[in-house]
Amino acid sequence: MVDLNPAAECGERPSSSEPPGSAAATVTPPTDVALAVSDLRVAFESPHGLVRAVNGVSFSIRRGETVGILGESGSGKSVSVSAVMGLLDRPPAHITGDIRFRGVDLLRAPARETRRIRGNRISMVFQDPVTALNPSLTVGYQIGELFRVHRPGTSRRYALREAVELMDRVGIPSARERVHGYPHELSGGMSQRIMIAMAIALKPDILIADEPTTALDVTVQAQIMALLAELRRETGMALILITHDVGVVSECTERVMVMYAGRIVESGPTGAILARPAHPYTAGLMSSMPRAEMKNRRLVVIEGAPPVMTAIPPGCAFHPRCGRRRPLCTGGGGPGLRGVAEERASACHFAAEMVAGG
Amino acid sequence: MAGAAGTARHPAQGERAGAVLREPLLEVEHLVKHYPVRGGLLRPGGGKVVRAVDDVSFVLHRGETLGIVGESGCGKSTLSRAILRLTEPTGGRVRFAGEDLLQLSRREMRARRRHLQIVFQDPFASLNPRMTVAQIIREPWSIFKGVVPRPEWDRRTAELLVQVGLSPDDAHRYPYQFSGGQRQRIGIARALTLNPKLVVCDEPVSALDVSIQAQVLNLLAEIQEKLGLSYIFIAHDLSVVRHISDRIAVMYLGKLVEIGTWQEIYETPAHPYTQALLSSVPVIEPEARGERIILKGEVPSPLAPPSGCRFRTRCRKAAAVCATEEPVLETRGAVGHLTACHFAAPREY
Repeated sequence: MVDLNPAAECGERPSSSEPPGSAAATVTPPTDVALAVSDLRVAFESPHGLVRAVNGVSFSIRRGETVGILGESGSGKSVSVSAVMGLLDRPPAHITGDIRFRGVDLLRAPARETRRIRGNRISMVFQDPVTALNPSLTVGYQIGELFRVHRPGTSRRYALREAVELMDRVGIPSARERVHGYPHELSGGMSQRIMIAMAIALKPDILIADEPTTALDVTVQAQIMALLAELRRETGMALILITHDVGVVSECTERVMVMYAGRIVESGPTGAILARPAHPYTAGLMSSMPRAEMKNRRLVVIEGAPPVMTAIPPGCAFHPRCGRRRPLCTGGGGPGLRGVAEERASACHFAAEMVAGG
Repeated sequence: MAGAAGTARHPAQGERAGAVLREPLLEVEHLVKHYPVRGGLLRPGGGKVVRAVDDVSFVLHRGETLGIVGESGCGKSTLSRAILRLTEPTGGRVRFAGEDLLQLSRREMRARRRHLQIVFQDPFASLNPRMTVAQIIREPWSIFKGVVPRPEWDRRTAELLVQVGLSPDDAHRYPYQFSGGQRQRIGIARALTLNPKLVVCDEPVSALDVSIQAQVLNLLAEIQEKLGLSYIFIAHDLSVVRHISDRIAVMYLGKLVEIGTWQEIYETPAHPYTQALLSSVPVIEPEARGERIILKGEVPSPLAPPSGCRFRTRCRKAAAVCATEEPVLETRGAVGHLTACHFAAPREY
């Protein structure tokens, strides 16, 4: 198997980053788990019935690693991390399962305790930086708020100085003046830099970035991804990158989890998966991308549309759209996520066949 | 239609000697769209002007797809709307099938509209929620009488729905009963009702998921093969544009900076902006990645674009001449296609 992506460094092309192999040396041993999610299920009450957004998701994040969550709208990728961040109101959300950060049970521990973790040890950057910022407060105030909330006793002067330093660090020109400015004075790219400044302010162990560049232009995306890579290298934080873009996953992550209909359908090292997917959905996503060699040819598409989450098909949720469908795929609880190769798992009956090149 | 072949002289033709001379359908010459900034009570505008589209010229041939790429605010959507006179251009000429659209009265323009259609980005906002699919598709026929006679309506509606991959039974459903991808198919069917010669696709797939996007791209290609119409295809996704376009125009701050065949733009881009733009696209295959050019800073305000070359403030090749002399869109030295850069040259890796 070709080893694609030897040194995933977000936003940086291999040619301009460290020599291949150096990243492997810095990967921490698997025992060093920072975040462990097991059998997470999230459902929402709605007038149309129960929306089963996340249906039994388990994963763990090691210290310092970069993990991608790849999927289309409605696949449950954002809801999963929103549950980790405690952003879902209960009700309407029903959450079961287990989310642990260094042993602390984030779903059941008292709020006093989880507040010390969320926003502090785990922080998040959202897709739309313009709506994520409060338009009526200066950016300096909003960055400084983190220190005032999570570091009680911080002086206003210190918080402001830290804000300027952070803005400098994320590449905002003339930070000393801009710190007193308001979000509407900033472009989308600059707003996202502010969001990142806020997310790294307290030196988190894990940064969750939910489609951080989807609302931005491609040259700005390149700037932001390079910034995230640089910060990750400096601070050693883990990065969970949620995206629908296979290219971003390929360039920026070491490991990837592919989600469909609220489940992880495939997971493993990014390079190995993209070189030879072990789930027909992953393969379909890749062939749907208009690549150079497909010019003047029909794209190989995934037929149909993703399921409505109030009526997920029985068996494998992907079976109505799958070219490999057999009778065994259409009933029961569907195939679970099983190991197919070293560090790789797939939820397809034909995973072994696919990896073997069948 | 007559006389179209006689108007072949054009500054931005992009045709090389010896190439097959194709029939131009649309010739855009020195098109300008400026928006005056009105001053408010507290904020006097001071007679400033946003130069959204500034002296843009190109030719689109029959059956051809011209992709227009550029980042938010570069003027690509304004350009398409100015061509269709959905927004009135400030100056220039738009020759469609030999006739200058900008000289036409409103009534005359309306009669030409059946040949000029548009597919919008957001399939949720562009369809009237109170109309059934059949009503949406038929509305143009009651305006342009005689294109499809009334007894033919049912048959033609069913035909159009099948053509875009929907079922004839869908005619009596409402837009909310469809997914995003299906709605975009309805939008495409609506654009085809009057057998147009030109369809402007303004970010037609960017609101769609990757798997659905591929279906719609295949559909657009299929329709073009069958009907021989021309597309102006606007998108910010460079892989999508490469896939669908024969030729590609790159815009920056209201100007065309480079235009050429898809091979010329994607394989041997010669303008530093095009090079930076293309190098920013994330690539799946590591072996296909070139060195990334990360642009510094931000796009300057279109209210006060830089003198000379508008890209010079962010350009790694910028020299003194770039501030004083605006580069013309022309072929230069070894570069066989049109570029607006004093130092246009293929990238050295």
